[in-house]
Amino acid sequence: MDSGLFRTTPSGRAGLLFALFAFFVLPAVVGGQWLKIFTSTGCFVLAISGVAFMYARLGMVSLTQVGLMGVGGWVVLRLNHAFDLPFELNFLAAGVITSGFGMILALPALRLRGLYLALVTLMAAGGFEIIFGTFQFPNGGEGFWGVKSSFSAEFRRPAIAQSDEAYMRYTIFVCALGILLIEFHRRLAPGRAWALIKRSEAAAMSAGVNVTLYKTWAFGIAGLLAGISGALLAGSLGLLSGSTFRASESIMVFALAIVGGVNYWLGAIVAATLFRILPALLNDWGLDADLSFVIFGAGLLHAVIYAPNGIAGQLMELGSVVGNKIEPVFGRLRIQNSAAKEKTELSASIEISDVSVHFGGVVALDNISASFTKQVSGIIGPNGAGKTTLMNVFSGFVSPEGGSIGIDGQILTKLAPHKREHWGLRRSFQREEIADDLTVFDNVLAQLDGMGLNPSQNASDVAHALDIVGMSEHSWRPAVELNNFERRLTDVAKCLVGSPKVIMFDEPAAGLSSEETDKLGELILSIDKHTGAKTLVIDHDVDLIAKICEETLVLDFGERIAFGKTSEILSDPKVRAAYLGVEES
Amino acid sequence: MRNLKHLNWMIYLIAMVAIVLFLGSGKPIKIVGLFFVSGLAIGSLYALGGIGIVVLYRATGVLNFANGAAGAAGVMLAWQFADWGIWGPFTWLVAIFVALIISLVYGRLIAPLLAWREPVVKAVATLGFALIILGIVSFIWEDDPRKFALPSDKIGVYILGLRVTVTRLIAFAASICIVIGIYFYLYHTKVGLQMRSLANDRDLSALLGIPILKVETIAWGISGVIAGFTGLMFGDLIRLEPFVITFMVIPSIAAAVCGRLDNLILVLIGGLSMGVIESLLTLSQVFKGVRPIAPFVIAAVVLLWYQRGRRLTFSGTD
Repeated sequence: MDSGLFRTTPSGRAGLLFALFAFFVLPAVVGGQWLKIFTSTGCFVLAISGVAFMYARLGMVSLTQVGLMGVGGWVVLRLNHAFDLPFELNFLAAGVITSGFGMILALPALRLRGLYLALVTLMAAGGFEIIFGTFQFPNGGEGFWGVKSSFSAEFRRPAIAQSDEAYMRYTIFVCALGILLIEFHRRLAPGRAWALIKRSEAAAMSAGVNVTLYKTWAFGIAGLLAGISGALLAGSLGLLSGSTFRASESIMVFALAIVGGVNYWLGAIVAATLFRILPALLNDWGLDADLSFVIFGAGLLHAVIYAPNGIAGQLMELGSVVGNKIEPVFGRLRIQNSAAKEKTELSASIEISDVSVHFGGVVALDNISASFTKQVSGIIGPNGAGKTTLMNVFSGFVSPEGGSIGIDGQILTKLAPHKREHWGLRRSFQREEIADDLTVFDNVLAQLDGMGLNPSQNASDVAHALDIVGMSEHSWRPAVELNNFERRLTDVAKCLVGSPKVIMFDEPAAGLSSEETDKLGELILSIDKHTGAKTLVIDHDVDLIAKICEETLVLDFGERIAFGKTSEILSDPKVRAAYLGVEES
Repeated sequence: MRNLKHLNWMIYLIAMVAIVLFLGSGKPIKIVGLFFVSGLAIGSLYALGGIGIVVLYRATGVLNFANGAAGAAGVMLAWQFADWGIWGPFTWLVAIFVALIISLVYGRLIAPLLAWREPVVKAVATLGFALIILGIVSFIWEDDPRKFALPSDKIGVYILGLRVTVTRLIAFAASICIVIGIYFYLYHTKVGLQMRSLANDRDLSALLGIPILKVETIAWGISGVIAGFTGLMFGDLIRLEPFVITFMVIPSIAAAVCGRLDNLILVLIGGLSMGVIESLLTLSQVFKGVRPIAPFVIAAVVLLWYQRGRRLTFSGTD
């Protein structure tokens, strides 16, 4: 929703005020070496907001941010001493090239996560440390590495920021832009996609999110911020030394991002202040700067164990208690429901033909064929029957060794997983996949992001879907506040947007009371009326299936044991045997 | 499946031999041997650090960044005692004891608060502890060139024409002995069985009634002792500086990654081969300057190799 892009929050207004203060007042009142200390703090604010954003939005730990800053610094120095270009161009080139390095780091992130991903980035940080330590930074010497030992050539600062004071303002301005860049991303499609990926990559893919693209993009942004922050640092100091970009500094920067609080702009500022200003202050007071390690460490342990939102989170909480008293009520934009969407007519059947899946020696699905012609159909079977595997074949998470699934002339098994969503396949999972970081509305909207449709159309489509499931009045609540049934309803709404053709529910009634199950059953029956989509319900709750599905496929140990009209199937002796066991006579 | 596991080993060994042959080609065999032996000494330090990390990670699920800091605290105190003229063997025991206590303090007091968090959060928390120790140690012993020497530094033996100090031999032998010792401990004692069970599935092990606290405490203890010993070796063979020793944990983790944070024999092979290749890179004109990069490149390649073809579709463990 574009109207939300420029909405201001109390925290945002405080941030803008702080930026103005830092821009106009700070450079005028500090002097001497403090100008440089504050400028380098500003550079680290930018770099730290990059790591903090990756951790907050995607849960990815990057331990190489300072190494990437080094890349940015290297590029800007190299260009500065090689050509006569203005600072801004060098600076942009540094950002773009470092962003490219960041994206290369995203390649392992497509296969790794959590600790192992952190370790890969740590190995990269180790590599950067060695390279910068060995080759140092260009200072006007000959050749590609451009290092000469005795003296260093002049560094050209931006034309509008020649003095230290002006350069500090310049840095603060770029910092503010960087933080706004992150915030805009968070409010648009990438933010929604990241929230889904963080929740579950399977859910994101089945919501049509191109996981590869968005992960790479996140790394690219973190790299971009690191690159320009390294370039700014180079501009402030005029020359760089390898010892600034050691792997231990990258680790420290990540640690401090957590101490500061990864979810807030203030967190990056707190972190950079601790990193750069605290040691300088300790020195000023005649104390050993090494003591700052003790403070960093204690802060990190405290944050990890007791304060997941960091120091900034605690400050913001304090602020919002005060703020609530003066905060005017901001009316939320309400979107009028457009006339009910006309349903897409779909009469063709879902053809499953000879689908086989083996996991090693285990036969998960053995030549399953079935042709669903009714609007609501069921798949049942005891645990381990292959129900979810069949659904995963539909979604594309499992590639069958043989056979295919065709719907309405489209061979589904030939499409990439996220493309199947664009085509009209929707699914829910056994656990409802609602991203806690987003509102109900945004959770549903995320489903449409990948389709490239008209934004205002999307908004009314989402509002309509929320209306169908009865969640309209909860649209703007953050998903984290919802109860189990409301989460399930939101999950159903996600399946209804964007002209679905086939919707699959995997044990939708799990964990619901019988009353809620009844409501859900009615809702599923009404899907055909609203959208015209075919629905497949997987469950071992036979009651729900019996109530809503006209046709049912029964699986056991990967084999089809029955298929046909639900009422007939359920009285089939083979089905009864699979479910209840055979009576010994 | 089993064959596939051996295949990975074979590919790794063949790759390592190929790199060694490539780097050594055209050089006199004596020179190559010389660098090979000195590489084994560096490599055994990486391996030692990695072994301590993996023993703990298997049993407790904590990747301990504070191992290096614990070792640094130990060896600094040992230096201090030696500086005061206290009898050598006592100072070495002090170093190991200090690292043991530091490890146990974290394991008993702080780690339980994070027992149910994801592995990466547990690892980040140990980083906080490492910084605290590092801060205190650097505060007590301010920057000053110091030297920590074991008497074995003065005794040398000749291997392939290279004089090797006994300290290096001790590091090498210790890395092999510790792997063998822990292997027997894991597979032939009751606590070892319980550790393997914890490594396999923590929740199930808890349900089975395995005394988790006791087993974890033993694991923290073992890794603390290894960290103390490794710290002594680092302090003697690399540099006696708290910051350097603390962050030697990074190449140690590289060695641990080679064993997939799981297999000690692979950690040993990984660590040793990293050292050898790093040392042999000296022979290459191109890579001479960046040879310490070897552990990181090898670890990154191994990590990616293990994960090849894996899809991240389903949320689950790391």
